[in-house]
Amino acid sequence: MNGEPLESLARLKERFQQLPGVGPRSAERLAFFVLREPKEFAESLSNAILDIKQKIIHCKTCFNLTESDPCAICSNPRRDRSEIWVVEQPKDLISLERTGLVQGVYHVLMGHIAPLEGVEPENLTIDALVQRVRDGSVREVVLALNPTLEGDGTSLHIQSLFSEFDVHVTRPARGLAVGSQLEYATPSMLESAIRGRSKLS
Amino acid sequence: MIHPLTPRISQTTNQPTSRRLGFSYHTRMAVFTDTAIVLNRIDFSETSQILVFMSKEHGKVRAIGKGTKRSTKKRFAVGIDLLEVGYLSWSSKHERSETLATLTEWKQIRMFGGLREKLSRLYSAQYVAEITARMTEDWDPHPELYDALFASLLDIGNAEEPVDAVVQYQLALLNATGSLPRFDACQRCQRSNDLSHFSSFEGGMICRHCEAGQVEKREIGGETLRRLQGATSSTARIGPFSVLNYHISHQLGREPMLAQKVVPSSKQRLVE
Repeated sequence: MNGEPLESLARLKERFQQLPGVGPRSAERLAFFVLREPKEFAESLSNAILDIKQKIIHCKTCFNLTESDPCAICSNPRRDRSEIWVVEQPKDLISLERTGLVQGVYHVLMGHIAPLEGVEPENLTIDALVQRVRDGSVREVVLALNPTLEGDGTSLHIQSLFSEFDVHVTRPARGLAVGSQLEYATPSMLESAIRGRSKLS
Repeated sequence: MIHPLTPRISQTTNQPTSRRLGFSYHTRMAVFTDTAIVLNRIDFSETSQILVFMSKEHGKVRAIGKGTKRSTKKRFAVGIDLLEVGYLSWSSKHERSETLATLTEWKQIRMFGGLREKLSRLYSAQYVAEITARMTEDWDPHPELYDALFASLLDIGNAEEPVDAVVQYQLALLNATGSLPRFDACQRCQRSNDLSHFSSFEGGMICRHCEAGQVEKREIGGETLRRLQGATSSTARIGPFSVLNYHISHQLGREPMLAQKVVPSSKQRLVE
């Protein structure tokens, strides 16, 4: 018994505890919540969890998460295929899509180059990106990677691969956050903003 | 009488960069502050990271940054990036605590923008950070090494060929950690001429007469030796890097992961 009289409840609590940001108290609260709810709730919850494991795959073109291959973005005829937005994770793609401003298609790298962590270019989907640019009529590759040292290193690596292609390699502007105050900006934000200042027109 | 909770902190330094802020009374922990450079960061959970800093007055500090990954809090600005310089505050039971310290504040002072402009600079800077993190002990102060690290990151960020700046730093690091080899005389017979091979095991050069009896060795060219002996007129770059990297690899038990990115092994075998 080990002081835990309900083995199934303990097992559920243990599973919830494996979720990110869930500690033992939260796990216990969630487990008791499921216990209180009707059986239909537990069934729909477990089905929803199973569904994402069984139905969600990676798009073979852009490596975004999807339930059908190609994904909704790659199969949309109104998307501009000459513009590829390169992101690190599917979560980044969702953030960009939320703006409604990206007309092009995406390419998800599934991470960034981090030699200290053993992540090399061949562990990412960079080869597939190069193949897409080689095969198609791509005009611009936008490297929308995280503005960290590793993200910038990955951008430099990809840029070097496209040096002999007739393609513009760009990246989103960086610097001051809209709505923030100059006096609270970090030196790196200011440096990026000063270097990348743009003309008002 | 010293209060039992008083942290063991040197009272001799009046440096503005390093001071004790006091106690956090809720946790009975002491709070410290120093200037530091971020050497490494490892994701610990969805929002937290384990960070390794090279601080000026306290040496290498390992701390857990709770919430640093997705921070919108003012105390961590917008996250902590590799190789940036900042004011670091952390709490721990005492100065040389063996457990991870807890990061309480990070305020960025500067970044080395030039590192992000060329891949060779970026990899060189990461190599420098890697060997610093692996060659130094926690809580072992090396203010001169901190200064050398800062200067080398500055040089690498402006260099067309960053290998020179890396070699300067390799020498500074080996000197600070007491592992600097001798390049002026044979480590077996003390002769100062006919120096032809380097042996990490012997701790420096060996001459043509003694090298036959030494299994662990590598040949060194004249230009490389002149550079390692301090001749600024020497044009050798890759040779000195590969010799010092060979020695560092022996000290660490394996080659630094970024070494091949700075100079590929095919070039490292060249004898300059």
